[in-house]
Amino acid sequence: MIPIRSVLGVIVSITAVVFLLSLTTRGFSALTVDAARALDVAATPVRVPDVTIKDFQHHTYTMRDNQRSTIVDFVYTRCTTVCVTLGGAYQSLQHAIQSRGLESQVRLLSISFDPTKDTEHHLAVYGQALHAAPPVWTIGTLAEPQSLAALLRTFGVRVIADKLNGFTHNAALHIVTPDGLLVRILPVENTDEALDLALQYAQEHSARHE
Amino acid sequence: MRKNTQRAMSKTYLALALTLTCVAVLFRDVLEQRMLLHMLIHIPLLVGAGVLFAHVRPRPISRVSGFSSWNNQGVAGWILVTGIITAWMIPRALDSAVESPSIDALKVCLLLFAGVIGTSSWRAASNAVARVFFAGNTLWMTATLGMLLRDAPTRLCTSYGARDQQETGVALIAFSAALGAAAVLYGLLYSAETLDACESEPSPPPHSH
Repeated sequence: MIPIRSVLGVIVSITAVVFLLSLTTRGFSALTVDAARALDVAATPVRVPDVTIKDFQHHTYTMRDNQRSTIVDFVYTRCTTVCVTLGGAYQSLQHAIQSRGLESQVRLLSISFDPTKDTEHHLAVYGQALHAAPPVWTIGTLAEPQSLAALLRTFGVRVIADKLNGFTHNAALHIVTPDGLLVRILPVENTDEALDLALQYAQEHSARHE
Repeated sequence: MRKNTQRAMSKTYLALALTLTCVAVLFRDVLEQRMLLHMLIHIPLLVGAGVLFAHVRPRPISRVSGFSSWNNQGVAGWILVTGIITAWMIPRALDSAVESPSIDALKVCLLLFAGVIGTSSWRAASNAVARVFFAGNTLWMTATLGMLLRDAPTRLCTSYGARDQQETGVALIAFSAALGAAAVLYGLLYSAETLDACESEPSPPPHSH
């Protein structure tokens, strides 16, 4: 006959463990910070700061476009790892936008998080290598570098310095509506889904503002 | 005489436990910079400090009257310990601890608690099978996590690099293998001692009717 207290003790500890693990995994839905962030943003869109980005020709663009949806990513020009994949994804996105004639509805924005090293010259070279064509695809740095930290935090981008004077960082496609709301964070490979979503939000926006 | 030795030992345990805790807390920035240090030094320091706290007399847990009836054979306590260790193996938890000092403080408390509860549950488990299960289960979980980290194709933590992750995986496997070997050795030696002790005791006098 097992005493009642033993059973209760086990039940209490199991309950406590389930509660703790549920907190850790966002209700058993995410094991990583990236997965949790993507779910949070999909559930509750986040208003992003309306920062100004300047490209290598000193043209400026705002985060909030008021007409086009933006697919945002964060890079640095010396990156030889994940930014290469991002670059490839953006090239195929640019090609899709141009061939389908969506230039007035979707644009691409690559923001460098290393404004000290990524000067206009570096941005120009980087852009040329990728055949980036503004205004479809803009690669730039923030006009106000002090807003970078808050911007990265809002988008959930975490940058850590590696031992070779470079950076390790997470990468994703961030879908921002014409109103400046971050509505979805998608893996880099999901370019088709990103484009469809961006287009959908742009069309909804223009329908509301007709 | 024996009481004095006990008190002295108690003070040593307390001093050591406090030292380990302070080292873990004060050197938080250094120890959390790499996943390897975080998982194999920072966390074990805190659990170890908890274990040492549990050796200080008067024993903290035994002061709570009736506690052992809730923690029969240490099962309830070990479920908590397993749960706490599992929680801090989840990548999101590690990242949150690195980014947020308040979550890190919670981690410190939970790990100290796990050390204390683990020790008293281990003592409560008079059944050798229960102890084997407790230790074996925890070590197996750690080894599995090590294999997952070693072989994962992507970075799981936003705070740590890919090579760091891989090295941590290998280290965790080695760590659990080493602990497992030590536990087996301890078990063999302990059972050998018990057998020796039993054999060398004089046979009990026959009961008078």
